[in-house]
Amino acid sequence: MLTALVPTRNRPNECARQLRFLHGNKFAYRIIVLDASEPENSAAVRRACSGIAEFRHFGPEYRMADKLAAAAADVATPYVVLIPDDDIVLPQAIAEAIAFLESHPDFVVAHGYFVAFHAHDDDIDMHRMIGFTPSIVDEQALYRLYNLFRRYQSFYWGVFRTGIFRAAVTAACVMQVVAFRELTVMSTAILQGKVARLRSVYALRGPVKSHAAIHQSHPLFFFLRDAQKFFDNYVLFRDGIAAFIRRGGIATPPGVPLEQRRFSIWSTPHFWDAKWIPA
Amino acid sequence: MDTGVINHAVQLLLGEPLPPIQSDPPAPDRREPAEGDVVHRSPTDNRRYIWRRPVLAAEPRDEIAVSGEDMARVERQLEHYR
Repeated sequence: MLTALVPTRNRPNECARQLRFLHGNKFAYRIIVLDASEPENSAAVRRACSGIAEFRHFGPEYRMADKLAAAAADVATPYVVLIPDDDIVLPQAIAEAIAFLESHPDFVVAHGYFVAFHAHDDDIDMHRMIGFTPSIVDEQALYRLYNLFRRYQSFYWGVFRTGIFRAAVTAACVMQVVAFRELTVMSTAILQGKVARLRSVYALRGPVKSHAAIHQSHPLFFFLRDAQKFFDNYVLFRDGIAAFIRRGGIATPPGVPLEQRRFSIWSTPHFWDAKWIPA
Repeated sequence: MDTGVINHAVQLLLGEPLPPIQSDPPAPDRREPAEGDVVHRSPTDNRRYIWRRPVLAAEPRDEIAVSGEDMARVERQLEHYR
C-alpha cells in the first residue's frame, strides 16, 4: 500500500533512531533509506537499516530531488511518503492519511498538523504549532495554487499518491536551487488535485538544522543575497510550471497568459514571509 | 514582511561586519511547565510529555484543535522515540 523514503546524509544516529521509532511502532510498510553519507557514516546507516529498511547509497553528486526521483521510479505501491531522518512523522497519522486518500479520489496528498518539539533529557517539549493551514479543496487548479502560496506551508512530508509524487520530484530535478525544487514539488502536486490537512497531529519537527543554507531554501534570503540569480531561477521555475500546466492539459481561465498570472501569485506578502520547511 | 531581515541585508551590503542572520527562532531552553501547559508522564519511565500552551491554544482556533485523544495517541507513539 505504501512505501516510505528516508533520505539521510551524515546523520547516522538520527537515522537509526528514526528507524527504531518506525520499527517500534510496527510500521508495516516498505522503507527505503536513501543515503548520501560519507563512508564512515554510511556504514553506520547501513547497519541501522539491517532488518528494518532497504539501504541505497548515492554519491555526493546526487541532490535530494535526484535521489527521490531515482527511488520513486522503483516504488510500486499506490502511496508514498517522505520521512526526514531528523523529524518524526507519526505512523498512525500516516495510516489515517492513507485511509483518507482511499476514500477521496480527488485528493492527491493528505497530511495533518506539524508541531515543533525539542527533547531535553526526560522531557519531550511540544512548544509551537508550525503547520496548520486548512485543506486546499478548490475545484480549479489555479485557485488551489493561489491558496497554497497565499499561506504557504509545505506538504512535502504528506502521504502522496505515487504517480503524483513521481511526476513532482522529476519536475523538481530541473530546478537549480533547493527552494525552487520544493516549490516545484508543491506546485505540480497541487495542480493535479486537492490537498487534505487532517485535523490531528501528523508530524513533529525537531531542532536539527537543515543541510541547506538559508539562502538556498528561503526565497527572501535568496533574493537578498543575489537578486539577479533569484529572478533567473524564478523564471526557470515559472516557465516549468507553465509548461507542466500545458503539457498536462490542466484547465486554466482564459484571457491571461499563464506566466503573467503566476507572477501575481508571487507578489503576495504572505509568500515572502512564509515559514519554510526546507526539503 | 520582516523588515529586520532586509535591514540586515542592506547593512551587510554596505560593509557592516555583522554575523549571519538566524532564520529560525532558537530552540527553547529546558524550562519547567507553566500555566496553561499540559504535562503527561510516560507510563514506563521518568519522561514527561509537555504540551505548551502556544500549541494547545494556537490561533486561528477554527483551524487548529489538538484534542486529548490526539495527545494520547502522539505520546503512545513517542514511547518508541528513544
